[in-house]
Amino acid sequence: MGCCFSNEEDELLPVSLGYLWGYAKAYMFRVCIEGYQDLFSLCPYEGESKGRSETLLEHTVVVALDLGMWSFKVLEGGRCPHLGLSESTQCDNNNCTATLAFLKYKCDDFANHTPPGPKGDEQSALNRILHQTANNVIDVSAIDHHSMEQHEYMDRARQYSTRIAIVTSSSGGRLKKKTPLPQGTATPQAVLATDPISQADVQLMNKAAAYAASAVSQVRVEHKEDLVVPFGIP
Amino acid sequence: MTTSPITASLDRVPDQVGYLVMNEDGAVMASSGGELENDEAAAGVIMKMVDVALRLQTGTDKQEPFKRLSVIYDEHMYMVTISNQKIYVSKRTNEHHEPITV
Repeated sequence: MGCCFSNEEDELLPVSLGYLWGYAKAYMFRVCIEGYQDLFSLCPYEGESKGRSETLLEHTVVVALDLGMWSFKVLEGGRCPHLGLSESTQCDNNNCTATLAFLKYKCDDFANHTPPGPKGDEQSALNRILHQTANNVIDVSAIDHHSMEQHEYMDRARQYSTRIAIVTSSSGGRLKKKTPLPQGTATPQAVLATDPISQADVQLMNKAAAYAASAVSQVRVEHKEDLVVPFGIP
Repeated sequence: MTTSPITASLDRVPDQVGYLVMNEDGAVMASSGGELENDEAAAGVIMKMVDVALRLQTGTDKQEPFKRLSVIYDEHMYMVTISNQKIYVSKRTNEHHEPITV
């Protein structure tokens, strides 16, 4: 048969493999089928040996069967190619493996076929993003100008202004009265450009603040007399 | 970034790495392309500092509590001043010109 199908980036091939390998998180591999002799050198991880890959393939084949997802096609004469399967799982007309499902993709077909694999998901994801953005973006220039009646307009304006008055009056009491800004300097750039505070002054400030903080922390209460005194009532 | 005469002259502050101009509500009106570019978080903090400082009474001049407010760190410092109903903030590198006396 001599079909080899992996794409240039070694991306995941048709979705059947995705399901098979879903639990393994492996997505870089290449499947070569050449004359059924060196079949399925399936290397889910780089540097995987062929023997192990065949074992893995066998395992996944069984899983696929359990899932019962695939409709199978017999390839040749009701007999599976050498898959490294045990006798009990030998393929027949109804019992082929999921891996054979993608044997349908011959080399020329693969070039034209758009698999519903990750490439397809990407395309649908891009489309989804595009539609979402188109729904969310409001194109102001394209909006029709709905003309409003004059009385309707006046009604709305009155309604809005009464609402605003209610809101401002209710929160006006709670709004903190900001102190108005003083006049300030006339040449801010000159003020900002002058020399900064000298290091000696900064150190003096730090020292004074440290003294004050330590003094405050040393404030103690000295117990002189009891607060509760028994009366001597004869 | 506006190119008004005020912001143009702010470029000439020595050792400056960025500047910011706010209005009395603390909204950023202009900022340099340097460190304080569109830094509304810093603007908010500095606005609060200015509010507190304005309420402090220095006792000497009732009209003007401070001429310039400096926030000094090890490697940089912020200078704040008020002019014409606007608050000007300049961030400069703190070069220690004088030796530190121990």
